[in-house]
This record gives sequence, structure tokens and C-alpha cells, in this order.
Amino acid sequence: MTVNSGATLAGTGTVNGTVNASVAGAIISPGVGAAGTLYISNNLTLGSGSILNFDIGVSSDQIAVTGNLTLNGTINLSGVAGAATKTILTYTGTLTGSGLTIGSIASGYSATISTATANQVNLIIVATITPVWSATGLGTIQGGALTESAIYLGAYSSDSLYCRSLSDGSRKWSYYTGNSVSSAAERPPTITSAQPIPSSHQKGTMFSALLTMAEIAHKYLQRI
Amino acid sequence: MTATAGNPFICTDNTNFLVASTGNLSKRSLASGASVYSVAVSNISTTADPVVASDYVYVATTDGYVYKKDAGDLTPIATFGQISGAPSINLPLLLSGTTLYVTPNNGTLYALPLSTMTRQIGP
Repeated sequence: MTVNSGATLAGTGTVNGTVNASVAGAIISPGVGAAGTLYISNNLTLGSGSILNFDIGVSSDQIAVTGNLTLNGTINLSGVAGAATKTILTYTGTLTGSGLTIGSIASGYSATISTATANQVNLIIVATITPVWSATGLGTIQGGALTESAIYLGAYSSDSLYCRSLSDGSRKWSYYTGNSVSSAAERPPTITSAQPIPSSHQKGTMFSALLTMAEIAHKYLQRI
Repeated sequence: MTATAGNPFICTDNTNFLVASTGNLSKRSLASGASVYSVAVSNISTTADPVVASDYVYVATTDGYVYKKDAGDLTPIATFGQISGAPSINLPLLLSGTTLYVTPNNGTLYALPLSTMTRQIGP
């Protein structure tokens, strides 16, 4: 059977013989309105311009090939609602081709194709993590410590310590640890009297100071 | 090639631990060190040690990714990145409440939500 450009081979059941979808625009869509498996009793050839349309859910579409698989083209995914690993194609013979490209997929997800398992083509779907917030311009950070409401970061490149809000990343204060202080108002007054800030750039010293500052600042914030 | 391993993270079951080593994230038995699960993670950072929260493990890479995996069988759940410029993530990931704080070497602090991602059931 040859699938022509613009034509669609759809549904479940078995195709007796080879399926050739090597021309651009040839479409294969297993299942009809719901997930289903399309069986092909001989070789399947997917060209670089071919298109697979798959439903992915608790049950997912699949193509089972009894023969060789030539894997090229694009796969469009519908129904994706969570991270999952799905077997989308199986074959009994040899695998050739350049592999599938991911076409459309629900927003918030991405997918990759794995052929690492023999006789299977697996689809690995993961969610895309979007930051709640991000804070830039902090230099090369060497260490960090947390309290319940703030994160304290030491940056070697800018010779500074930063205190940022955990809720939105906004600046609580920053402190230059070198020979001068950028602004006396930028640090809680208890810190300099209670704990001298080392001028050394050594990571260990910087990090120790950072932890001490986090503890002091936490106590300071608890008092006010 | 000699592998480098990071600091292990003891799983909440007190039976296994997770460790990042060159190219791999492994779950191993505390009693014997035997591998329970191991998955390849390209460019995994061995200094940004894995962190476990609510049955998921978070690992970072030296080319700007954070991966969320099921702590049970290490299957992939979610991905953050690739961060622009592919900065290395060398520092341990910091966890507070429902947020993971990540500090790559690009001068930026990222706050990542733990709750965004779900796992879809089924074959």
C-alpha cells in the first residue's frame, strides 16, 4: 500500500503487506477518535516528509510493524496531559532512517524520541518547567544559604553578598565585602558589629561568612 | 575514562541513595552499594548534588539544564532549560517549601516551582 501526498491512512486493524509513506505529505493516523493500534504485516517506510498523528493519553496510539521500519518524518501529538514514556511503534525487523521530529505538542510539554530499546520506538514526554521568578546580575555565585524568607548568596566575581526575598527574588540588601561598602544602609546594622566580613576571596571563607550572615540576619528579622 | 561521583543523597526510605556520577544518575542500595536503577544523564553535574522532594529527584547539568525525575524509577518528569548560554550549574540545588532555587554560573538566581509537573499513567 502506498500513502500518497495529502492522503491519510487511519484507523485500527491490520494492513496486509507493506506500507510506503515515503512521499511528502503522506499521513498515518492510528485509531479513530480514540487511541488504537494499527498493525502492518510487512515493512513500513516513513519518508522525511511523512506525518504521523498520534493521540497520547492513558491509552495511546501505536503502530505495530511485523517487518522492517524506516523511520523519518514528523509526529504530531495530541492529548498530552502529563509526563510519560510511551511506546509508539514496534517492529520485528531492522530499523533505519534519520528518526522522527516532534511536531505539535501541548503547551508546557516537550518530547524526545528514543530508539535505545530494541524493536521499540519510544516517546518520552516531559513537562517544561517555568521559573516562578529569576533574579539577574548576581555575578558568579559561589555559595548560598536559606532561611524561611530569604536566600543569601555569595558572589566571588563581584565580591558581594546578596540577600533576596524567597517570595519574589526582590532585593532585601546587598553587601560589598571588599575595602569599601557600597551603602551602609544596604545591610542590617547588627552584621558588621557581630561578624566582621572577611576580605579574603577564598570560597570557604566566603561561604562560612555567608552562613553566619544568614543566621544573624534570621535572628535580626525575628526580633523586628 | 575515570568517573567522578558527587555527594550521595539518602532516600527517605533509608534503604537507597542517589548519586550523580559522570554521565549517570544512579540509585543504589545503602546496604550493598548495588545499583537499583541507573539512567544516563548527559553532562550531569557532580557538584550540584541531587535533591529529593516529594518522591521526585532533581539533578542539574553542566550545560544549563535541571531535570526532574521520579525518585522511584528515575523516569523523566520535567525539564528546565536549556538556560541561555548553557551555563554550568555547579552549586547544590537549594530547596525551600515548594520551590527549588538554582544558581548557574551566569549571575542569575532561578526559583523553580516543584508542583508544575505531573506524571501521566499508562503504558
